[in-house]
Amino acid sequence: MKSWLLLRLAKKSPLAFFLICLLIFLAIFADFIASPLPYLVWANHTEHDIPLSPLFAELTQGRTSSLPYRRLAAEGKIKALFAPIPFSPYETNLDEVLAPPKLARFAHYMGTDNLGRDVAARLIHGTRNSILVGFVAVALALILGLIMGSLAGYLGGFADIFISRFIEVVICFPTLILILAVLSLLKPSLLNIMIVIGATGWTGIARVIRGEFLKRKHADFVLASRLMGASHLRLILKHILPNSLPPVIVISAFGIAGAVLTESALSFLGIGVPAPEPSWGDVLKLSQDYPDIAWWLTIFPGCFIFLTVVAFNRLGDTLREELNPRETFKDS
Amino acid sequence: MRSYFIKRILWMLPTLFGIVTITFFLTKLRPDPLSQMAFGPEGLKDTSAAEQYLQELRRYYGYDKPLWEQYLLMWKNILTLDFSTSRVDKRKVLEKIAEALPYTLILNAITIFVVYLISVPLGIWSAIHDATFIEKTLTFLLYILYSLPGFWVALLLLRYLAGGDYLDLFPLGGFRCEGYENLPWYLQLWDILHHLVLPVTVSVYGSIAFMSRFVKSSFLEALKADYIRTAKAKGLTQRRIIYIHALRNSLIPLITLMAGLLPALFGGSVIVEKIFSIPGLGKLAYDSVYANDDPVIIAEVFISAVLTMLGILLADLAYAKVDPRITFEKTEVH
Repeated sequence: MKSWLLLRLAKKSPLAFFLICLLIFLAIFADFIASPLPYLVWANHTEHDIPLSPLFAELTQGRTSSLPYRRLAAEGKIKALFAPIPFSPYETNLDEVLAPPKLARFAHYMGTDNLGRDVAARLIHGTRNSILVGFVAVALALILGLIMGSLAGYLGGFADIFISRFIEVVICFPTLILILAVLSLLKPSLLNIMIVIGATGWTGIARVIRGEFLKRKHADFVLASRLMGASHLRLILKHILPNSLPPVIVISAFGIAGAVLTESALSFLGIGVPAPEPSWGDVLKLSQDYPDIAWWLTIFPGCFIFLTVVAFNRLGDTLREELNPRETFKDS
Repeated sequence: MRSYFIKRILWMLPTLFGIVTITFFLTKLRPDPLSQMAFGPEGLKDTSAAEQYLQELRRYYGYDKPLWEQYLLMWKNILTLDFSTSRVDKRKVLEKIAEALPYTLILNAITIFVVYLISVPLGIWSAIHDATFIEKTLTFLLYILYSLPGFWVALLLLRYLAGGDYLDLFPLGGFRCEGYENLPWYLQLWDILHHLVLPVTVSVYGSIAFMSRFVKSSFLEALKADYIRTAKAKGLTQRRIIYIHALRNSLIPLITLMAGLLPALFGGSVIVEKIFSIPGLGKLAYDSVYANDDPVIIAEVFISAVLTMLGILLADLAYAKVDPRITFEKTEVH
């Protein structure tokens, strides 16, 4: 039954499923979707030596070619097939600072920012950072939460008291202040942001797992396998944990939405992904400086964040309906 | 009940101890903030005077003592409720916090009030009109609202409703306008409310979406209960069943949710306060983390942790008070 979960999710909320697939696709293939290098060059009237596929050459051999392919193509000197968004997220262009969105060949579909960088390219490449932060932070929170929750629930006694206190400490700590303080210690980098979000987000999972363990540790099936000589580790990993997973999966889906939101909030405050790296929150931060012009700096990144959050929230809801943790809460 | 209360208060102590200890080490782990004060752009630069100033700073802030002594000193400060002085403007930390607290409290109190004011009727309405077309549309809209990132909404509201280029309905930020002191009291009140419309909107809408959903499911649950069937069998009117019997019982879980709202509102207010430049606790925390203002950070974390825990405790007590089925005597605390 569980192996068809993905299919049932796709059937139950197709839009969210499609959005999540699209986001993952964008994150993986960002280099192919937004790049100033052409996919294919089939006619070359210049004196330069141009590989058949400059994009492929750069990605595989690391050859960085600094030819102005777009200009060459516009002047008709080469014939080439370009990526849908023929810009890199890093290239600045002072001639086109804060250019409004325009639909034309080699135009900026979502406008440019204050350095003339293409907003669409930055958002597409920002997808990679955001999705990565979402998944890795939640994976980290899962690991922490599972370990802490199982230990507290299974061992009980002093370990339980200690871990429960620790969970309460993390909950009562104002999260954003904790993140700010930790990030002012560590250098803000993608990895550190994942670690910080993961390290502050595991409490919900730990509490649920602890509760499940408390409930199941004296269940008949556990007692039976203990009588058959199963070790503690085997009991935890093989018998109790798999039975406690459904609510955790649901929490994780919401957790991804939360982590993406936190990451963009941090970038918005200027302590997220460090400077030249593209990020959704970073573009939003820029928009603060131009409140009267440049509506595209506000609208587009917000849409990206919103669609991601709504998709993962919907995924969480669908999972809750499908896995029905409330039923599993009630049994045993 | 009383023994439970005392037990809960006592259990708060280790948590507070943990929070303060973590904060202490977080502030101490940093690369020496004092040398930046002495040698940095606002200090005395790389001179022998700066060297001497650094020594002075280390003595003044107790950095010359061993770590354990600094730690104990911090506890002494906390227990005597004397959080020493801010490093930024040399004012008393408590004074700064007392100045910022009202803003945050007013903002959060109004927010919680508005959340309950809107989401309870909304939830009940959608429970009664469950599965009709309007209800489905409304639920969908609320779902969308729930996922809208607050800082984005804040930026949009500011862009289109404040400032002047599109509509100039609300002020861009702050808490009161210039010349506030000279206004009569009703205009003062109006002025504050006028400034609060946008920040409250931003902090409210997500919770409304969440809460009304909660109220709806809890109300539907209550409608299924046996006593509702009994009430129907007695021949009570639909109205009486809904508004007297079901409603009162479905509202009990809302009290617990209040406890959940408290820390979220204190944490979330950093972004809202920063965007709308409201000089509350959130903005103070943000600024002091950036300025390496350790005394303010410690005091602020301590106070907001205490407030949060007290909020959760009060909600639990209120829960027991309202619902006679709940007793704490047998439940485990941790």
